[in-house]
Amino acid sequence: MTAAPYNYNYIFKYIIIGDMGVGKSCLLHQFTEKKFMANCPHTIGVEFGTRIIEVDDKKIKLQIWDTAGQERFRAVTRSYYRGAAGALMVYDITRRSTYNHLSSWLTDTRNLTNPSTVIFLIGNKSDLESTREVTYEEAKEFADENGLMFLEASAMTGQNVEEAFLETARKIYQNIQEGRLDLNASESGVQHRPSQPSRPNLSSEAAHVKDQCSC
Amino acid sequence: MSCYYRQHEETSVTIPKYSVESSAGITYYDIKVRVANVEWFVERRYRDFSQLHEKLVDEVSISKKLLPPKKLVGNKQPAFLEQRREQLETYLQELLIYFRNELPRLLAEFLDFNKYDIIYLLQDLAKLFNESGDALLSAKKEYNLSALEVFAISERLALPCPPSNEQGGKFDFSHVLDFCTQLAALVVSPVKDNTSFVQDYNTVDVPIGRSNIIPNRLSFNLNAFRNLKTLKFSALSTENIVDIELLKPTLQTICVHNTTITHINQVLLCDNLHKACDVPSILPDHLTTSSNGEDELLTTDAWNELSELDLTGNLLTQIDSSVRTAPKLRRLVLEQNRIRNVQNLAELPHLQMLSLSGNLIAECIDWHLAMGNLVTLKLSQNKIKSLSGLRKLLSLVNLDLSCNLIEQLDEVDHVANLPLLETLRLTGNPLAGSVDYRPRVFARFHERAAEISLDNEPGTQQEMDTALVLSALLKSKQRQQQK
Repeated sequence: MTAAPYNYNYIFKYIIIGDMGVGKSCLLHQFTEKKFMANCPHTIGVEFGTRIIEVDDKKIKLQIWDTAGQERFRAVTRSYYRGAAGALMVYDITRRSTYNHLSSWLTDTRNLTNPSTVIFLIGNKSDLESTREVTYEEAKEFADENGLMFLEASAMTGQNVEEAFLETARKIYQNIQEGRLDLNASESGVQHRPSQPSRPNLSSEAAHVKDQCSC
Repeated sequence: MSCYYRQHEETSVTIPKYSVESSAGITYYDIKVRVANVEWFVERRYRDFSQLHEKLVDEVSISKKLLPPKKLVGNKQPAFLEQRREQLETYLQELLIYFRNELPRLLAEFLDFNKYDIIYLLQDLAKLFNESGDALLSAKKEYNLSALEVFAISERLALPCPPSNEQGGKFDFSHVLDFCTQLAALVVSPVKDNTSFVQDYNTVDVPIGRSNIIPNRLSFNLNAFRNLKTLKFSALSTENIVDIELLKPTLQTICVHNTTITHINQVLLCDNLHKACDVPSILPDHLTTSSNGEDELLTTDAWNELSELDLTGNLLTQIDSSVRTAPKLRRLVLEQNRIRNVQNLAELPHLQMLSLSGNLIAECIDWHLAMGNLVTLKLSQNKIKSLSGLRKLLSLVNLDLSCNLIEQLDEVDHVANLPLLETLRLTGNPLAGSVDYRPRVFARFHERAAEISLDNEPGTQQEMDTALVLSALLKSKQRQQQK
């Protein structure tokens, strides 16, 4: 219970968006639990998951907000765009309509996040090659036109799932290193936690104190 | 509020009575000033009259004989006092005829015109702002104006009246406007800086001073305040504001306290006659229209800079759809009202802090569908028994549930699963009185217990140790149940 409270240097906030049924929750589950969740229920509002990853020897905690794709939750889920450092925009390669809606998802993301937010496009269900409706080339072109990173992945087999989450983190980290992302901006979606608690965070100061206490 | 400049023909001064103060034996004459519909009383003794007269003789060459002479002996006789009352009345009436167009400052102050009349009140303000306006502005504090002053500024702007050149322009209205246009934070209250004035909604119909002017019946615009970022109204309804459009581009904070308003639309749509009509949703139905297809009506009506709305201490019963006109709202404080449930919050994507302390909320059902991405939620002093409706407000960091009706420790489980929670307040609930309350609450958080501050304090080492044991017990119990 008293393990070091911050065994990570940064917190990155992610949001996963896309049409209903494209596999957003399954991607999250595959990434955090390394398992495929069959019969995944519809998300009500939002779900949340975390995982600590490593980029350039820095430990980064990803806080991932998985939103409901259903239109009726749109009002609530929109508020979670606020302060996202990374946005994973998902479509289903076997359903053309989910791809066609990408431009509206993109508009929403650009409107509600800050300019430095990294947007990663994921074509999910790449294991279902036989029923494919959207070609890799077409989606790649769309991604390039809009300056998005892009991969096809499968939450079922786990193919490229790690890569998508990690590539996004690398890009965000690179933005920090190159000064394109202001850590002090309130809605940057990135929190820096020095590994040595020389500058204790106010809200969690108490936890630090406890930790150093030897009694 | 009077305007002698325009209404001097409808002005009268009388002295209906005098009174003798028993202890010191001083006689006060009660002067009644009436300008059109406005009237007020002011008490003066003979000495005040004679001092005024002396100065008037000096400054504006009034006939010295106008004032009835001083009497040393027998000046307490009722017959004499009655006669003097009449003489003084005539004296004031003659002065008023003499100064038909503009009262000299001395006389205006003597008759309290500077308290109740637009022109003379603004002269006082002009003098103040001329002398210390820059200092007041550079202090960057909020500035308090009375309803009467704001009303006077608003009326004066519409008045065709030459600037006063008296005493080197020190009373000039432009000093007031200069100050107003630069002011960033304005507080408007019925009476200025008067703490003894009981500021609650029971005082809405109390007149100002000894006049028949009632602050809540004055309608005004705030057009002079072009750079206002913060606007606070206290014990004064915002419905007195006409034409609030001009404030919308700059206002970031609105606070309205201690009024009888029952709906938020009385604030946000205060100049809109059709409050009943439903505010159209800011959110487009189809995301494709979000960038360009905005309704024109909406863009003009929206409070695009407003980030904080504080309506503590009113009679609000619900959160009506008018909050949608403030899409950038970050902090919404609705403490000490009569709200029973929440609505219309889902469409505020920037909302971070919501305070509903001191309301009548008994149930919170599935609040994660009513609001999203909230960081701080204050629900102190309500009537909440169950926390299940908060179980998926996953973004919460600070949660205040003090002084509610939570009895069961199991209720804590619902909020213990919130992944980001750091501070929790449960004091003042029935469960907080139970034995080992703190360690038992900490136990519900299991591994995260050390990160939690409960009732403003993190757990002590002893509490953590107990919690550790309790947590292990809880877990083994759960495992048994699963089997």
